[in-house]
Amino acid sequence: MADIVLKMENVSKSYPGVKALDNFSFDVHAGEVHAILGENGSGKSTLMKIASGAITPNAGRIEIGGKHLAHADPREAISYGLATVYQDDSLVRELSVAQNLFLATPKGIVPYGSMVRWAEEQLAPFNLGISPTTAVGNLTPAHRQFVEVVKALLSNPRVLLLDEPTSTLDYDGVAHLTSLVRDLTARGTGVVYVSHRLPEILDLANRVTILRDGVHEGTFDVTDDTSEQELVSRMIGRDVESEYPAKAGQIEPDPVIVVEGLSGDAFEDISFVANRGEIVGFAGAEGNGQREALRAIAGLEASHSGTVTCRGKAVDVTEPRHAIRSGVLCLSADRAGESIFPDLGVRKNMTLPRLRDFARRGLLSNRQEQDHAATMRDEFGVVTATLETPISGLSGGNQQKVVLARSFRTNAKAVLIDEPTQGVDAGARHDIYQAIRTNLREDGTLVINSSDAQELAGICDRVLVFSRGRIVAELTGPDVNEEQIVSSFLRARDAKQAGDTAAGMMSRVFRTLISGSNIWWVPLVFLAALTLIVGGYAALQTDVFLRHVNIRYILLATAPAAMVAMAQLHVLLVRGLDVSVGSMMSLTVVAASFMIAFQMPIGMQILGVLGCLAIGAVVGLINGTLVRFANINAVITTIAMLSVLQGAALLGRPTPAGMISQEFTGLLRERIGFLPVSIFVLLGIAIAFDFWLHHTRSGLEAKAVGFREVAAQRNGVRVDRVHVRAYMLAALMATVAGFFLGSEVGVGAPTVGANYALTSIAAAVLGGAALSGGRGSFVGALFGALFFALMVNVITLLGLSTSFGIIASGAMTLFAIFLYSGLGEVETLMQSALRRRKVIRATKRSTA
Amino acid sequence: MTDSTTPALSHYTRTSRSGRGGKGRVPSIQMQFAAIWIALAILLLIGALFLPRSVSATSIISILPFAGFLAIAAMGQSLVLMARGIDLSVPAIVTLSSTVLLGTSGGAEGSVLIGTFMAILAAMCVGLINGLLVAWLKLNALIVTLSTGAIVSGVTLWYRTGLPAESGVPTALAGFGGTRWLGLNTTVWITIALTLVLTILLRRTQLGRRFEAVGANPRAAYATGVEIRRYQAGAFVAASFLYGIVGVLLSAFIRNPTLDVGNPYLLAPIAAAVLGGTAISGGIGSMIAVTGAALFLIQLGQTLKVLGLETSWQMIFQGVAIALGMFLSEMQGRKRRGG
Repeated sequence: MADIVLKMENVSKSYPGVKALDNFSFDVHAGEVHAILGENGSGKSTLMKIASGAITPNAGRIEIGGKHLAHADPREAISYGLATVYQDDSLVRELSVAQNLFLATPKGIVPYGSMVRWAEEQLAPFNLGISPTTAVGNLTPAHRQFVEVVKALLSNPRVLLLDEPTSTLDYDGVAHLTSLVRDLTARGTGVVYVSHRLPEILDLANRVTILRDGVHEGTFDVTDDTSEQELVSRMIGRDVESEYPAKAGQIEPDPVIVVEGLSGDAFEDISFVANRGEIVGFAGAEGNGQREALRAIAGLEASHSGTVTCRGKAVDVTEPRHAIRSGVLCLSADRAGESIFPDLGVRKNMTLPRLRDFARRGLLSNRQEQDHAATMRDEFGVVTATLETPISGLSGGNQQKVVLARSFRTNAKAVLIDEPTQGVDAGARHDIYQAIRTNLREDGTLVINSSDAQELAGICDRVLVFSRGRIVAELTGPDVNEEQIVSSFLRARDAKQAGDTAAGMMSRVFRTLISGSNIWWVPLVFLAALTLIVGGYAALQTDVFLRHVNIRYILLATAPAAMVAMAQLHVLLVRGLDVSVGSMMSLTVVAASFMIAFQMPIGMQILGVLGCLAIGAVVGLINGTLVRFANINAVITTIAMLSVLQGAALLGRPTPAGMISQEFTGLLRERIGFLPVSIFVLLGIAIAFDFWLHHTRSGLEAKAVGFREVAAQRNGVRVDRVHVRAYMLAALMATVAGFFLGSEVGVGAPTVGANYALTSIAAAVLGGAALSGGRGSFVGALFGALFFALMVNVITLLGLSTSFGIIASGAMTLFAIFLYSGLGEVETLMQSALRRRKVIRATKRSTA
Repeated sequence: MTDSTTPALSHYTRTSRSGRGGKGRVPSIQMQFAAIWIALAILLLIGALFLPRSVSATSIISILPFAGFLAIAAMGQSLVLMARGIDLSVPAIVTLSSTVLLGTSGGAEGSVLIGTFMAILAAMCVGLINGLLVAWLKLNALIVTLSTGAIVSGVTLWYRTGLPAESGVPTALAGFGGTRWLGLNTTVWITIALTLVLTILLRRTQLGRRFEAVGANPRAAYATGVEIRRYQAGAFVAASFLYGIVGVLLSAFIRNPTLDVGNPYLLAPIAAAVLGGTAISGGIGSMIAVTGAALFLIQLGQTLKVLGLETSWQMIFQGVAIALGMFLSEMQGRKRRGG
């Protein structure tokens, strides 16, 4: 008997209202493929997460390669020899393949400089034909999946967990993966293969463990005699007949909704009819466009072309509220994200769309609303302590009943339901099926998308099967059964992929050209152009502008702004925001007026500088700790800090007073020729930080955290540490910015830094930083700050009022964020408006 | 399978709600709003025991108008927070409204009505711009309001230089601002009225309930057919309306307002909103609790003053209070979510 590489004993895990895994035990031998088979919601993902250390089980013991996994810590699991390939991958889209692979290696194994060559070597044995320098976001889903596998294998794991590895693969991809898995097992690696694709399991697995509703239903050897039917009956294992309500029987062709030629990013040319009294199902393997198509019919997802009509009238599919007005409503599968209001009570969750019914002269009648909510609760069998209990406290099944009640009581003629029983315990499922059938209106229709073929077979009168974004089969009458549904989407292998349309390409080019924040030099060129225009204009207007003293003046004014912009960039990179940097500067100026005071001995002055830096470090540490460990929103944390620091500065110096040492200010204003030294130092710092960001592991980690924190965490990046470090660097650099500001004002002025919070954000954003994290350039931030200093200088030189300068700084900031994040939104709004015009034209045509 | 409708449910009241709140979940939300009143009571009690001067009738009556200004501004900030935004343009808008009042009312003998109308209109225009940028272009609310705040300050400064240096509000308005009715300043009555109106709007109208839903989960509200952008932008406009009122009342109270008039309203309204239990994650808020928090902060300031501490301490306490308030509500939220 081969070694046992993974062993789980009596593992249980429950979530509020659902028992995800119940006393589960299994083991994996070296060199075997052990398949886990189960329906959606049977506990497969929970099992994987527990094994890989992502979540803590309530009870049970896990051993990897004979070592006990004491804590739920992914890094520990990896070090014991376990690697995981996640279904929703753990790659950072914005980074290259090589960078992603590199992040997964332990520190110090691969030198940063030889990363690309190393990655090429790692990829070579797999014959994927992808270049290591390609951004992961530009790969096909299938290639991403393989990169994920390659990444998992980097650590030479003894056991590999594969979670639905073939869901995004085509036939060739599956074959490729199959041979890969065979190689691995031949070399002695144990593989846990989670899938619901029976042919693959029969082909690959040595043993199969069946999970049903979190319970271990048994482990079986896979032999040549094992049939799909056998596995299916074990997986389903319940009396199918009794669970589902009776079907409609004969359906007269009487269309309620007619969809014609609907196309979008993930689906193409969808046409079908749903008749009165009929329940139509959408089937297909996960990710074949069925969900997007369903959502697009009700306006929850964008569609490029095609029409939807409801009872003969065109439906405006640009926004859900328009579609709802035409009688089409979609209930999302993303319950927490898109259908419940977690903190609101059950009553408020149920009655939102029908508040009008309870209004009497503008005021809502509590009494009536209560009665209606109570009726709805009873009709749909919602179990809740009170109607005011926040819905987040209910079990998944009860939450689903609440939103079903809400959806069915809106008088929509067509109700579209995406995954009606996802995350719902077995007991509530029956109630939901009953509710769906009994609430189907006489004059209405229902469309249901589900990844559970058995569920579709049980409740639908007709099923449309999707593959690669198109409808490839239609099952009616007796053909609506689980085997037929599954086999038709498994068989449909060579349908053409519905790709990005030309319009999508166009808009992508447009966006890259204009926003350009992902091409590092675009913001720099843009800033240079702005600087030249403003500078040129000023030079033409007044010859004072180009005088040495003026240039020196501009560069001196740049120093504090540039320093604080770089400080802000550290936080922006990890998707944070620090509003307290300005008051940190004020406090530093005040502190300097005490600790680096006029006529102090030099030794004391040095201690004073260190003291100021220590204050900065403590402030940064507090900010970081509150944001990461107390989980307080970054904006609120730093606003609170702003208040404290400003108060402290005012306590120290209620009015400007106290000279700062002239040796110190003189040092900061030292010059070579007519140029201040500070500008060269700043340039050096900026280049050094850019080097850090783009050429070191720790910079790469910061970027990964900013782009996609989950992925960074799965790769073993110490996310909390990266965040806290960013806040500390920001506060420290703001302190240095405060030194420069102090050298400018010379005395302890308590509010002198107040406007620098805005400047810092604006300069960093103008220099290419993205508020969404991960992007930015320190040199860019420096030039952004230079541009600001230039603007202020020009405004003063031209004799414009100070009010103009303040307006300009605000306007520039707005312009910067509009350019880098508003333009995309304008484009979306325009596309939606264009699509809307088409729909309205179609409505006119249909009424004419 | 289901519990049948009990009569108690249809005759539900506030008390019955907390009484039936299985596993302490429901009272925990109410606790969020009640906490500030308990804190206020403790503050007054400590004052009564150790600093009788800080809780004397004259002291309390003299600080009430300031609590009123802060409460109105804080209600505006709360509306924005409830819609998942944040507004840092409050000082700029208050100053703008005050300056427009000076400029359009026409001096001491001028028209109160025109001045007030223009002042509030100007404030609401800024709110509309904030709202459009945040709701339609999905720009970051913090940066948008910081920027519009700077722009509005600049515009106000420019506009103010065109006015006589020693401008005062119309005498009639100044009289109104100084009047007491039943022993309380008019500002106090206006604050009470606004609190009640907003509470009814939020709790008892369709508008308020949809607004709550948009804040609680914008994506779900969108999927349910609510035009979320209108509500998000509306929060900024309604808030600016309130800031405009603060600008007018404050000018009436101090008669010769300067350009610094709005300065105290950058951080204090955020502190009051957070201490009043407004959820930073959106949706949930109580205007009554926010008014209580404004009262608390002003009384705290008064206590510090009586103690002989500098006003800067107020800022430090404010900052600590914001962080502490957020931390406590986060802990509570975690307990609730964790089940």
